[in-house]
Amino acid sequence: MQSQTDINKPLTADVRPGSGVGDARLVEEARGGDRDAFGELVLRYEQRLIRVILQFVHDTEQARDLAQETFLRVFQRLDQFDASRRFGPWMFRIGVNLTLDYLRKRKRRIRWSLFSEHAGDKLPDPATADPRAALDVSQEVRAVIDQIPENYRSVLVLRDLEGFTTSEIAAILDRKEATIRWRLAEARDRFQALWTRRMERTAGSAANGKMDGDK
Amino acid sequence: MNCTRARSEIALWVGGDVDEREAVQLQRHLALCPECRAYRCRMKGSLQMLQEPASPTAYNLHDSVWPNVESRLSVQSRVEADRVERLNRWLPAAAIAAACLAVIAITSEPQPRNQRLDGEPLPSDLVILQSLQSVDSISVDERQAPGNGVGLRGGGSSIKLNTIQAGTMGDEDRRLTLFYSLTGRSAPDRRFGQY
Repeated sequence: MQSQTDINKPLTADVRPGSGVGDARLVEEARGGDRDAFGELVLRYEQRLIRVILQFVHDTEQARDLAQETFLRVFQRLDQFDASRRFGPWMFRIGVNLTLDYLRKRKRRIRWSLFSEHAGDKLPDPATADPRAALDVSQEVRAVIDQIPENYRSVLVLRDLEGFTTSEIAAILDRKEATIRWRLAEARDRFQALWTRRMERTAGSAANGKMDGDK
Repeated sequence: MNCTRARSEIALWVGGDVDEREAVQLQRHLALCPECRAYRCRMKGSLQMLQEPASPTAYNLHDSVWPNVESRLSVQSRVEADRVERLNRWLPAAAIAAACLAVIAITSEPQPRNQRLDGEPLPSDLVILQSLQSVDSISVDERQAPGNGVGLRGGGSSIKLNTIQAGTMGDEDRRLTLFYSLTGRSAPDRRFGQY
């Protein structure tokens, strides 16, 4: 079964035309062993899940792998799902946790093998004086986000890049909404400080370059 | 509202994450605080950058992951089915073996040994003494073992201690060691004078 996903679709679950069945019903059927029902859930959520994961890993293939792993785990844990709650946040919780675990492992690996090929996974730092690195704004933004500690970064990404509400994020990250709001404020504050500093540095480098050119 | 609280509220307000009451309080503070107004400008600018649409090439997703997920689920279910089948094959044999072991364990449970020095003679004492008698012809002189003697109370019992003849076993310590190890008793306070 192939699904053609559109990159410009809104950030809602991909409910297929003619499929009016709710998530809860599909989950029940999947629990009973109905693979097609589970496939329907996968098709509904895969695009958004991959987009969310991409915000953390910045690698499409890796995001797809993590999404696959997420759906496998979801299927294995369907019997643990509380049917009185919403399926989406529960599924995203598994996906986000899996992604954050992957990032932690990768970080450890990079730390222990600084000169291995994994070092190439790291994003280029546009603030370093490399004239070849003409990065666009989204890459600049990503580089700044990556400097924010994980606790805050995950909230920032889910709220400001993926448009989840704070109550949804609370469900995904299994925290109180007040905690999420506090972390969101802190995350935006840190982003603002890092962004301002970066822009000042970039502006300073550009001014120095111009002065050198004038000489 | 102080500036620290106001900045936290501003960070939420720029993303539309404060309710009306909080927004009114914040506006009151901003009207009086130029530093917080400047912070609001910076925060709005940075959030605008953050929410810029990402490069479309980053989201070039054409194929669903479902075919891969489905095939992996099939593999997993086959593996699980094999595991259950293997388990079912071995389960009856394992259950029978366990039952046999349980029966053996219950039926071969050792009988409690008589460990009292001051109790009445038990049938096991007779067996032990008879075996001692048949093997080593150990003799216990009741007069030299005052009181209850070695494990058996008095000479008036059905066991005729003084009829067991001494002689073939060897020295006194060896006879005592043999006696105690076979009866499972500890040595009495007093030593016998003669056997």
